[in-house]
Amino acid sequence: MSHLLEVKNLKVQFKLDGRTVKAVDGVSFHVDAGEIVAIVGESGSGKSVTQYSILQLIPAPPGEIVEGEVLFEGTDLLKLDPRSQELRDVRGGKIGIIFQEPMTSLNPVMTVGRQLEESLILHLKLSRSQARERAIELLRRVGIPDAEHRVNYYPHQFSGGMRQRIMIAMAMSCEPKILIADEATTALDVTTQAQLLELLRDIVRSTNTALVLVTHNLGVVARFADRIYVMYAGGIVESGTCKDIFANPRHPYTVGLLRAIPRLDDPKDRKLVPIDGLPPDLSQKPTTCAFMPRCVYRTARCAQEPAPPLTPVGPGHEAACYVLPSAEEFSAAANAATAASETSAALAAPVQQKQTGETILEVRNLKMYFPVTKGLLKRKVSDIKAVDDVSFDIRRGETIGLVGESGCGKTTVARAILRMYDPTDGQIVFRGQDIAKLPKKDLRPLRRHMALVFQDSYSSLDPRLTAANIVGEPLKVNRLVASRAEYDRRIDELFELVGLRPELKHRYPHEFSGGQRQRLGIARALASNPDFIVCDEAISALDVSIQAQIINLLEELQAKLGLTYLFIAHDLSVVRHISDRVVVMYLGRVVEIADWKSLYENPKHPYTQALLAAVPIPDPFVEEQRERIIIQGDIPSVMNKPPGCSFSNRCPLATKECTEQVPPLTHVGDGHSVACIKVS
Amino acid sequence: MTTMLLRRLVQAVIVLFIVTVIVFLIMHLIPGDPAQIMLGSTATQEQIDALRHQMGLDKPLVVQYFLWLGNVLHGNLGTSIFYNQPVTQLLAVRLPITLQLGLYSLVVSLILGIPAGIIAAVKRGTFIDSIVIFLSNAGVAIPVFWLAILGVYVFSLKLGWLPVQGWVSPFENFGEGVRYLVMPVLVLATLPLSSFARQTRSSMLEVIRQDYIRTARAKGLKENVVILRHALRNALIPVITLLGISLAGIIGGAVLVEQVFNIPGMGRLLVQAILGKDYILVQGSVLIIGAIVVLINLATDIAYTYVDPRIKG
Repeated sequence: MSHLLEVKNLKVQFKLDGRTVKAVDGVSFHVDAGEIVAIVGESGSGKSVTQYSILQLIPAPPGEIVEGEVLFEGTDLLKLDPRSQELRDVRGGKIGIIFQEPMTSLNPVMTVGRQLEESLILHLKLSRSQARERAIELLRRVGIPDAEHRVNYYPHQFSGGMRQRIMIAMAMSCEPKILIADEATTALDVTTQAQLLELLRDIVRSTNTALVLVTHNLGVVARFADRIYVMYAGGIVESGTCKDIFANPRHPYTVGLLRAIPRLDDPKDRKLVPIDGLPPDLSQKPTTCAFMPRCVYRTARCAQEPAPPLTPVGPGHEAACYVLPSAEEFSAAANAATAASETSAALAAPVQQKQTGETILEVRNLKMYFPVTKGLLKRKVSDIKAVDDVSFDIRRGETIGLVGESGCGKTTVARAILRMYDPTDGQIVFRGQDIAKLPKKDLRPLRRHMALVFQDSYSSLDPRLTAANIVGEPLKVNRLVASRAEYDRRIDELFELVGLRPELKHRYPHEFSGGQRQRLGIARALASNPDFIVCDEAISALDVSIQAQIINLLEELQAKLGLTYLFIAHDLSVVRHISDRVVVMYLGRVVEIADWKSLYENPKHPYTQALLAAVPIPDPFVEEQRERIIIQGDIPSVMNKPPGCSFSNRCPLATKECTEQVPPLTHVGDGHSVACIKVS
Repeated sequence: MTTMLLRRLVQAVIVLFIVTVIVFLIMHLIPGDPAQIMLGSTATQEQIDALRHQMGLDKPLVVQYFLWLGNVLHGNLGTSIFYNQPVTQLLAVRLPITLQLGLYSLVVSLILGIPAGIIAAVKRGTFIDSIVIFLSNAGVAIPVFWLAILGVYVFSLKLGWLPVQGWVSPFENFGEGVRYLVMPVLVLATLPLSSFARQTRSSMLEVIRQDYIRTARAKGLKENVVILRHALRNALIPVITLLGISLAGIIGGAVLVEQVFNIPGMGRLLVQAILGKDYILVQGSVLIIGAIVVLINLATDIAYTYVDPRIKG
């Protein structure tokens, strides 16, 4: 049987700084009409390069397609000249692509209408006015309200989610046979992500278009994919139907990925099992199995023979592994790993002082407004109420999760607490002292007791300082060491604490991997012996296998040093895993506070409910059973909050009275507070 | 959009006001008494005082300024000491010549510079790219007066293709006018041309790497459509900034070029006025040049909002 698209033995390399990076190394896969195929892998696994190579969209040079065939409707696309009419007919006409970054993938100086019309005129040979009509229709189809007017808007006038809808409309405009979605929803908020994936699925199902979902998010895959290819270091390591891969994974890497991610339906005490080590450098890829150095099941054969080929392990299920451990072996190894890390944690942490009950930080009616200016003289006309009357407290030794979608004010809260902003109003009582209005100089002695770990481990480390200088700076600034010897000793100690070898301390940030850089960021935060650390999306930028390493590190450090965390994240599964209590924010206000268990098992606020329903669970069997609550619309801008309850314009329960007053945060028992008049 | 334009307009007026103050002060900050200089060393104190009174120089500085500003606003820039003619009349003859020279140079530098930059960027790393880089670097580095003298030596004196100097208006005698224009225009265009080529090349290279260019290619558009429709408009945004600066530079360069080629434009008038200590004429000329530069900047800002829809009030 011939497939709609068949890629055979594709090899792509990039020549960079005299090194040859084998980004894609012998990848074969196929896509049939109307099916949803997922290509899963971490950054650098070659999943996107594979897709771009199909249409010869990789930048060449430095990229080069070395070998392989891409058969599409009987033609080998790689044989076509990249500028030929034939290939250009396929691009956008028969195969459409949705790119990852909605913010940068649309031309900023052309109206979205013109960008849509361009494809229609090109491929469907429509006239200008026909194309315009069709563009409006397409925008309406992907859920852009007021499409007749919005068609003349420029990309910057739309939100990220809206822009991605426009990208979908553009990719779908010429009724392609295949739609490639390259991390198409990764940069978006969970509720938007859920809306868009549902939209994509509806469209491809109704038009019998094949969809290739390129993603690192296993939850998305479980919810939507029919078949899955798992990629690692430029090659496919396992392929099969969605249910086979999740129920009976055979490759150690696939199993590792599934173990490394926290799930919304996990038992709370499940220890994440990270995959140790790092992916190989693809310019020096070994000829043996690329995963071997990180694999706990490796045997002598793995080290001697060339990389294993994909071999059938069941009907329609293939894996590239010589060992192919059984399910029992997998769970035995996982238990051993958990036990080992637990004993090491137990040995290292004689003082377990989780939740002593003493309040370390109390936020009372915190308000953070930013002025809006207008007109010639920049008069202040109103305020952006980024944080509006937020109260919560944090007890020593606990982890508070702060969740919400972009623009909800969670980072602003954190910055106000750390006094990086001067709060407009309210109290911040830290270690018994109100620091909200404290002058900067009185604040300095308190600074060493609080620290911040940033999201972007690359831009938050000075590239011209060595690792030792970065970690040691707080020691000097706060005069915490008396001598050079003590300084050196303390730095070594901090490196070891975060699991970095002290020999690395003379290196510069770019010589570390993403996970290692985040460890440096944590070491710097720990340098002044703080009690309280704010982790602002500290693990969001990391790959899942590395994410688990950092989460485990944070948990170990908390047990060892009795730290208190304010853990800001948009990933609700991670927050559930790490937090004792959770604060949910929406448009600058707290809508719900509860301990993790009652929040996740019994969410009361309609927004929390929708948020949780939007998070996909990496298990196709669970996903089948789940009830979907998909909230409509986009998050309004903080400047245009609806009157009364901010959520009232999207809430399924909302009635007229919801728009009349702001619902206060009301205690409903057992430490659970909700801001909704419909819940009592 | 309108707020932004209004704000720019108000800013332009403020800048113009500051220009008038500075131009006015030129006369009073230069050492020596204007009346004394005008009358020469043989004049008696009575004659000097009489002239000072006639020129209003005995009034307080602020009063003098507002009297002068009032005249300027009524289109009266004073009477040239040297020519004994109204400054406005003198400028009316010479300003169009300088403006023509500047305009032709601008057009030449845009027509040659931008395509050169595009080609170099698209063919990055090739022989053509190297040539463009070499020539544009040379064009930025070589002094204008040297280039002018070299040009005259080669094309006029040795080859005899072009006139050595002088000016014929192309509106009166087109063929002859063009022959007289070629050299000054090319010399004046060299620097802006090279800057446009360099800026276009580097911003094109930046834009070509952007995600939306990949989107355009993924749509199946022809490569020249991708470059000209999608990349160029984005790449021109920084070129417009340069345009404003270059135009001001062209006006400045015209002074030099007019001097070398003996063209009766405003630049040469200004040089004569300075050498002849004709303060009234200097004031008037500098004021007009300043106003032109301010207007160019205003136009650049407006062009910005047209090209880049993201810029708003």
